Amino acid sequence: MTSSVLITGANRGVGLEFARQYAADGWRVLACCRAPEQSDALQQLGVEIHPLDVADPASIVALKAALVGMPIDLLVNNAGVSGGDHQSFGDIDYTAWEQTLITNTFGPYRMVEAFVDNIAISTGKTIANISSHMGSITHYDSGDEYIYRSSKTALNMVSYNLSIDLKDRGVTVLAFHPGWVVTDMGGPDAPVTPSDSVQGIRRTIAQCGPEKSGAFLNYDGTSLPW
Amino acid sequence: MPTVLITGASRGIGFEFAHQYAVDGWSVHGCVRDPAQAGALRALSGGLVTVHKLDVTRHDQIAEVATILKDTPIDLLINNAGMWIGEDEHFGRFNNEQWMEQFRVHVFGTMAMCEAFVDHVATSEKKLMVNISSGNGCFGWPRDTGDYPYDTSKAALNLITKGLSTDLRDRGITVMCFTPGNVATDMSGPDADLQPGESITGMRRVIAHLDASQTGSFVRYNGEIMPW
Repeated sequence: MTSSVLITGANRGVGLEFARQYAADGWRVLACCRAPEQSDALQQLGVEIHPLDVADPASIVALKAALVGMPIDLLVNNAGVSGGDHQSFGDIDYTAWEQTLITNTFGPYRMVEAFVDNIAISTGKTIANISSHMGSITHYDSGDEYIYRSSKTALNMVSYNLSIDLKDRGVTVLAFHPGWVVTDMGGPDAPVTPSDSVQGIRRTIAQCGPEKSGAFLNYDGTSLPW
Repeated sequence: MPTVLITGASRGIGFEFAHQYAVDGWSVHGCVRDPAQAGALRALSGGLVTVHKLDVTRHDQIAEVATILKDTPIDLLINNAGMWIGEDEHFGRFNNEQWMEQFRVHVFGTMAMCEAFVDHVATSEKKLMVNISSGNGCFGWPRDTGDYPYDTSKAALNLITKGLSTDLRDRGITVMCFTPGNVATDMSGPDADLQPGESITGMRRVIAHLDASQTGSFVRYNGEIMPW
């Protein structure tokens, strides 16, 4: 049977690359983005495109209603924002901090809440949360960038808690650092291509069973410290 | 004598900190949301106790108290104010607004306090900032289920503690966070296994021996180092 993957933030960067590679592999791809009519690159892939803003719970509920009863083997929570230009001590933009949490942390959780039944009836039963090594407390020795970093630390805790709460349903939950990738967010000087990042994550997902649920992994499959 | 500023000082862990530092003769500034309910805090004897109206989610109130105290060096800032909503913390039981409120209290409130009082602390003798976190904010800490708003906001609090320790090193400020243990308070309920007196006595002992080499650490009330 054809496997299906639901990807958020699929119109560009890492999300678009996930859509491209899974489509090439013959998966049914449900690609989600805020503005499907503007997603030229995604439209060229010929995959199913759904409008979705993970920051808007009503938008998630609408997609859930459209996909009732459909098995989803893999949910890729990829949509994310960078947190803006005011993330330094003494210059914190608290409104931006709230908006960043809603997209980067609450959004992935709400997606799982909405689609856990679809995932649990599938064969793959896997959730991949695209986090960042910038959410690692162990590796945080520079100060600054509080907004983005804290949203990813909190996402890691969401992943960890989900791995416990969804264990009985056989769902595997993984948090990934995609590498510093050449994207609109990562900029042109990044050392990792989207292609290599997503190939590594796909390979790692394919190798990880329930015993790895709750892990925080680099795109190449190696473990990262919390 | 040294000066301590404590948020959430009307009850529980915050009140016990105020009590013990007052007994030791410190100058205690206790922040509470409703000063009318802070009779017990006012009645503490020993050092000088001052009560301030300060809700950590109200950054205007934080600014106001920082102005009132602008000439007062603060040796120790204790970011203690916290909340927990019981079983509504579990999967599928809370909305984004409930979740955000815990970030406003645990994370934004702590950051805003540190931003507002950094000069007060930097001009003091001891230069200490202490954040009351939780074992729930620790990855790998045993749990049967997730308390999502609480656990995520405490993990984020640990992250900002680590960041602040780096950002404020040049000003000579030591920043660390505690798990106070499962203390019997109004928040955690009567089944908790640790009395406030013991937890706070332990944390005060750790605080009394803090130096710059321990900045950025996560420590249990009894001095054991916690993993992130």
